[in-house]
Amino acid sequence: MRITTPQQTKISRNQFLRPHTRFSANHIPLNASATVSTVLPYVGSTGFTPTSSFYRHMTHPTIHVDMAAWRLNVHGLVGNPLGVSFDEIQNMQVVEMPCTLAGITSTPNNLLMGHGLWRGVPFNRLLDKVGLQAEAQYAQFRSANGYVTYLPINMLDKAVLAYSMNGETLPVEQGYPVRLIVPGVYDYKMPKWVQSIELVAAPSSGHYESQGWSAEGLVQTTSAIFTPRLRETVSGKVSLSGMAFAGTRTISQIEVSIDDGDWMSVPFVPAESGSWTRWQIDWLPPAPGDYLVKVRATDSGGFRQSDASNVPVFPNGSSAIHAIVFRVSM
Amino acid sequence: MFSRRSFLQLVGASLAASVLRPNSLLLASAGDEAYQGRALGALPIYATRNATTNAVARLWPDSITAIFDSDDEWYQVHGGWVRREGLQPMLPYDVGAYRFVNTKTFWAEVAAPVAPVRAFCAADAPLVTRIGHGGVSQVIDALPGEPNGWYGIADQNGGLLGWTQGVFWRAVDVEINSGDDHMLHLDRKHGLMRAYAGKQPILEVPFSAGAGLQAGNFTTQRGAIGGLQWQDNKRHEGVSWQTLFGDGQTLAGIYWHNRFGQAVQGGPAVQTTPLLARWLYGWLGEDAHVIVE
Repeated sequence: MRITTPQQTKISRNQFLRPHTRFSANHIPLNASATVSTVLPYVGSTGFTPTSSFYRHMTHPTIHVDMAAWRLNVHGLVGNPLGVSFDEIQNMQVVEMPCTLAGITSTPNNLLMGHGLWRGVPFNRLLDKVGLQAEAQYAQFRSANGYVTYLPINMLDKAVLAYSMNGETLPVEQGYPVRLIVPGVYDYKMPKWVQSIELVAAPSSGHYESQGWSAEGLVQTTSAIFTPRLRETVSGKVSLSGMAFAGTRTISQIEVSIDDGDWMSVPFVPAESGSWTRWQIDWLPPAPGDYLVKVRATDSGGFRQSDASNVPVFPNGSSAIHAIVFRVSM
Repeated sequence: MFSRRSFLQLVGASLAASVLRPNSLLLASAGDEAYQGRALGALPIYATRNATTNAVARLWPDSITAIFDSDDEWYQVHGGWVRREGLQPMLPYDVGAYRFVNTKTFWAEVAAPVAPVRAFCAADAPLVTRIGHGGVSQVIDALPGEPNGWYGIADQNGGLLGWTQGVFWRAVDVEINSGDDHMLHLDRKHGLMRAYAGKQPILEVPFSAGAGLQAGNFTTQRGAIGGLQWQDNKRHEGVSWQTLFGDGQTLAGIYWHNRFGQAVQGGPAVQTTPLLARWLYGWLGEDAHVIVE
C-alpha cells in the first residue's frame, strides 16, 4: 500500500549520495582578519568616514565665523585668562587622534555615526597655560552660534580642540575653526565653532541637558550592520560587516544571528578606546530568499545589548540592536 | 527484502543515528562521496578527534556541511572533525528542485537546515517558531510571490500557526512497506532500538526517551505525520512521523539534538532522527509489535 500526496518529491540515488560541496566553505574563522573591506559611506579607503559623507547633526544653523574677529577665550576659575587666535592655536603643539562620533538620537536604522581622524590642541595644554583654580570642576563651552554645553574637567583628559579632520581643514559643517572632540561621549558634548571655555565650579546651562538629556552624555554600547544594506539583493556568498562601539569601553564580544537563530560570536580586532570596532564575516546562504540578520555587542564592563526593540533613545541614547532584512538571489 | 529506496533510507537512517553499526555499511554505500549535516549551533571544528585541543574553525549555526566519515563520537567534515552531538545528519537540500506548490493542504518537511515560521509573510515579522531539518507540518495556505512564495502552516488544531518561506520546504509522501513480521525492540537500559524482520535483526540504533517510557508489549498505530511536542518546557512544532504504541507512548523524529542514546527530560516519547522515524512510520505501519524493556 502506498499513500501519496498530490505533490510527491522523489529522492534519487544521486541526490541522496552526492555531496553538495558548495556548502563546504561556510566556516567561521577563529581570528579576525587584519583588514576589513571599505564600506561607503561609513568607512573610506583610509579607514575613516569620508568627510563628505560624515553625518551632520545640527540643532543650530551652520555658521561662518568671522576669523578676523574670532578668538578662543579660556576664562573663569583660572589664574591667567587666555584669548588665542586661530594662527596661535595652529602654532601650538598638537596631537592627532582617531575618534568615533555618535549622535545621541542615533539608532541602528538611522545611524548618526562616523569615525574621523582629528588634529588639534589637547585641552589639558590650554589648562596648563591658564592655570586652573582648585574650585574649578566643570568646563562650560559656548559656541559662536550660542550653543552651550558642559563636561566635568576630569572627563576631558583626552579631549582635543580640533581644527583638522581626516587630514584636511575642519569643514564649516563640522565646526570650523575649532570643534571639541572628546572620546566616549555623544556629539552634543562636542560643540562646534567653539569660542569660549569657562572653567566653573558648577555648570550653569546646556542646550540638550536642560531638556532632560543625560548630563554626562556617555555613549551607550551599540553596534550596526554596514553590509548588506537594508532590503539589498545579494547573490552567492554574503559579506556581513559592521561596527560595534562602546565609547571609551572596549568591545569584548560581537555576535550575529541569522533568521533568529543562535547568536554566534564573530572574530574581530578590538579598536582602541574611543573608536568603533569593525567586524566582517562571510556567510553562505542555503537558499535564495529573504533573511533577517541581527548584531549585538558586549562591552568590557559586561553590558550586552538587549534584544528588545523598544530601547528608548531618551534620555541616555539607545543601545537597541540592529536588525536588517536582505534578499538572496541565486 | 528491501526496495532500493528503502535500503538507501535505511543507510541514511543509520548515518543519522548517533552510533553507526556497522560503519562499513555506510562507507561501502557512499563510496568516495559524502553525506551532509546541519550544524546545530556554532560548532567548533578540531584538526583531530580531540576536543581538548584548540578549534581550527567553527561552522555557522544551521549551516550545511559535508560529512566524509564518522565514528561513535565524531564526524569528519571539511577542515577537521566535529562532535556528533553538534551536527544533525540531513538529506541533501536540493534548492534547484524547489517548486512552489500553490495547493492548499499537503504535508511538507523542512528540506533546508531550518525554516523560521513568522507571524506574517515577511522575514522580519515576529518569529513564531523555528522548525529544524526534517520537521514536518501541514501546509494549509499558500501565497505565491517574491522571493519564493510563502506557505501557511497549521498548528496542532488545524488553525494557522504562521507563515514560512516555501523554498525551505518540500512536499512529502508516505511510503508504506510494513509487514506482519516487523517488530521493534526498545532497550531502555542501553538506549538502543532494534528492528527485526521476523527473527532477523536489520537495524540497531540509539534512541532517547524520558523516564515515562513504560515497559511492555504493545502494537503500533500510525499517528500524525507532524505535530507538537514539549521538551524542557520548550514547545517544538513539526515533530515528525509519529508512531503510537501503548497508552499514549509515541515514537517520533526530532530535529533539535543529535544525542540519541542519552535520556532526555520529559514523558513517554521516544525520540529518534526524522530520517529513521520516517522509515519506521512506513515499515512498522499498523499493528506491528513494539517491545519495551
